[in-house]
Amino acid sequence: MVTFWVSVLAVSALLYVLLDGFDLGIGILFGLTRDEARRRAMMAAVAPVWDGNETWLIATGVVLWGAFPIVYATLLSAFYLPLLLMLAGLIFRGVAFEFRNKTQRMRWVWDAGFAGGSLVAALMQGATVGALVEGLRFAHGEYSGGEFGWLSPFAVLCGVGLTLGYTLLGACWLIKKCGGEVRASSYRLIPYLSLAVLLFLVVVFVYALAENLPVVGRWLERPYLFVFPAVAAGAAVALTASVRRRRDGPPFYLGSLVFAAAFGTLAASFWPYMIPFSITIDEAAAPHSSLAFMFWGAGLVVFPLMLLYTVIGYSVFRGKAEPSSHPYH
Amino acid sequence: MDSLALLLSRLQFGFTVSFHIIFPSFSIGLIAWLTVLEALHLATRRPAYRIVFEFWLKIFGVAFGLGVVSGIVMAFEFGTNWSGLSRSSGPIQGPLLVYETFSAFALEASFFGILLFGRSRVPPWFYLLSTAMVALGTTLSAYWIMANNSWMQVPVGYVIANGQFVPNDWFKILFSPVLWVRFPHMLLASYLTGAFCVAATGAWYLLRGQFHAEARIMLRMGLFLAAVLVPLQLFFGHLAGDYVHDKQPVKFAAIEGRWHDEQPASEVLLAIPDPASETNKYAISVPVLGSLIGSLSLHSREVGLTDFPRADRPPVIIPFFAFRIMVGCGLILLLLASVLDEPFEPALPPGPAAAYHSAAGK
Repeated sequence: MVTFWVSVLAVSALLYVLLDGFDLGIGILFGLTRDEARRRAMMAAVAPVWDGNETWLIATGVVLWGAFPIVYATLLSAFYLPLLLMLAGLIFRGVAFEFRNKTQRMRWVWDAGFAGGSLVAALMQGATVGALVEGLRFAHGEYSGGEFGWLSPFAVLCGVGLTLGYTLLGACWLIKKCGGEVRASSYRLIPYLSLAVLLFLVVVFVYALAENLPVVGRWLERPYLFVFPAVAAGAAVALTASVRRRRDGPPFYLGSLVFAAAFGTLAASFWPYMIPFSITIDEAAAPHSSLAFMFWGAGLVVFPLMLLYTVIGYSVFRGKAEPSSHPYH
Repeated sequence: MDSLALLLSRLQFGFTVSFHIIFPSFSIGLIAWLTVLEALHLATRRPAYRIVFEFWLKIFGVAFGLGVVSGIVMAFEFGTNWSGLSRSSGPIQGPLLVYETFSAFALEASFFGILLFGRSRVPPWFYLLSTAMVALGTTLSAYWIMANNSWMQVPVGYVIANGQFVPNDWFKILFSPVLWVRFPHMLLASYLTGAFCVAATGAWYLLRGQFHAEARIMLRMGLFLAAVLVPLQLFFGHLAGDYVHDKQPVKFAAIEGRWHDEQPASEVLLAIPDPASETNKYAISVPVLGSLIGSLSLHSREVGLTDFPRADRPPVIIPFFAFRIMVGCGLILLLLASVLDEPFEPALPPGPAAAYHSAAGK
């Protein structure tokens, strides 16, 4: 039962990172252009799917609460500030979809909200993961690091890194969904973004070694963990190749594979800890009566349905997006 | 704990829930009504029903979206602001919210897409079914949320182990009698919110002499619904009050503004409660009515706030006035629903705007 809910949690979180990752990335890219036609095309590429993507964030949050209440309580209160900033960012970018087309004069406000909200959300998610990797301060099983305990150079670095990663995913999605100038400029951007992400990974690695973070020890104990970075490296090479050949489809999937491998790296190097090196999965799990109650309805029936709907949703809106065909205009 | 941080946390959470509830309480009622409209359109083929449907569907979309984004914040604030609560009651509240999110996702998100994009892609009966499914989804959401909240008001079906509430009887939690009074109370509130918003919009168009046929549908259906539901709502409100009386006597005393035990108890209609001196200033009260409302009796003893230590009393001013505003609004709505139903009955000849519009709708 515990294993089942850990898997549900992992799948929800990974889906969130991949799906909202590209759509936050597009929000950031949106801020880099002034051209209205390009902006419309970018919005059209995510308009039908963005709210479904964010559902996975809620799913992740509530599964965490229902199945691992101690982790939910500890992490959310430790990450009060970054989470609140992230939510504010998500709200601004969410309402921008509805409101930017209702106004000409005030459009810049919603455009700034869309790009800025996406950027802040991505930065904060990265910083949160970074702080978790670095380790939070605990006393008697409770977080004791204060309001800014999460904020460290390493967390900021991870914030920037995840933002770059999301932007890369966004660019890959744009070449898949758009044509014309948007596709061409995304192709031009991808090599720089990939290089930046690579550079970030090297810096993180060196930093972790230099600071002798506890996670390094786990790596030395478990050499098989290097499978994940190897998969990521392979996917990165293939990504470069398909971008060179200007093939529209594969880069997004390969970018996602890089992300999935990074996610797997993190998860596997912490196993069986849920909050690294202080609370394990079994310690955090809710009582059996809670897990079983969720399993027989939400877990067994609804969760597969949610996955199915996600697949159907994406297949309905497959192919290149037409700016004029989306409902917000 | 730092009392300023506590106050700010309460304010923040209070604002979030109050802001959030505006949207679901409107959209749950609206989508139920839209289902009726779509069925009426299929049955009668009157274009006006279709026009009204399309008009309100757009508004539903915006309200629904705002409900979702403000709801996400709530799902996080339980952890960010009330870490201790979510740690100990997580094994019960968490699964209830998992069901809420999952069933909402399964029904609302998927069928809502069909409502927005699918009119021309699915057969009419399936479109109607999709509307009904979204309505069912919002109703189920309301059920899970009320299950969660009712459990917080009157916890049942649990044992305490390792500092956590461990569920040992889900049936008791899901079919708690408190829940089955408060859930209908919430649903009726949503239907009434929807009904009055729709009726008011219809009235506004009628006053401006625009869209006559459509405006009359909105006004008549809205007021009809209100006339039926307001009395029912007052009844369920009374039942919900009974549970507060029996299970949360200190909250009941605060709402009533009753400081000392009374037998028979009077009912304070209006006053300014003063926690410092534990009295009411400028009180207008009716003798014996308090016992009648509290226990349906002419001589029952009703408890006062001073029976409880100060630390265990809720702040009096907010529940005292909030309750009077709620009941006052309920009575005004009752008056509106019963008085206004008639004057709009005689059919006015359709104006040029209506003729134009119903032609455009075909």
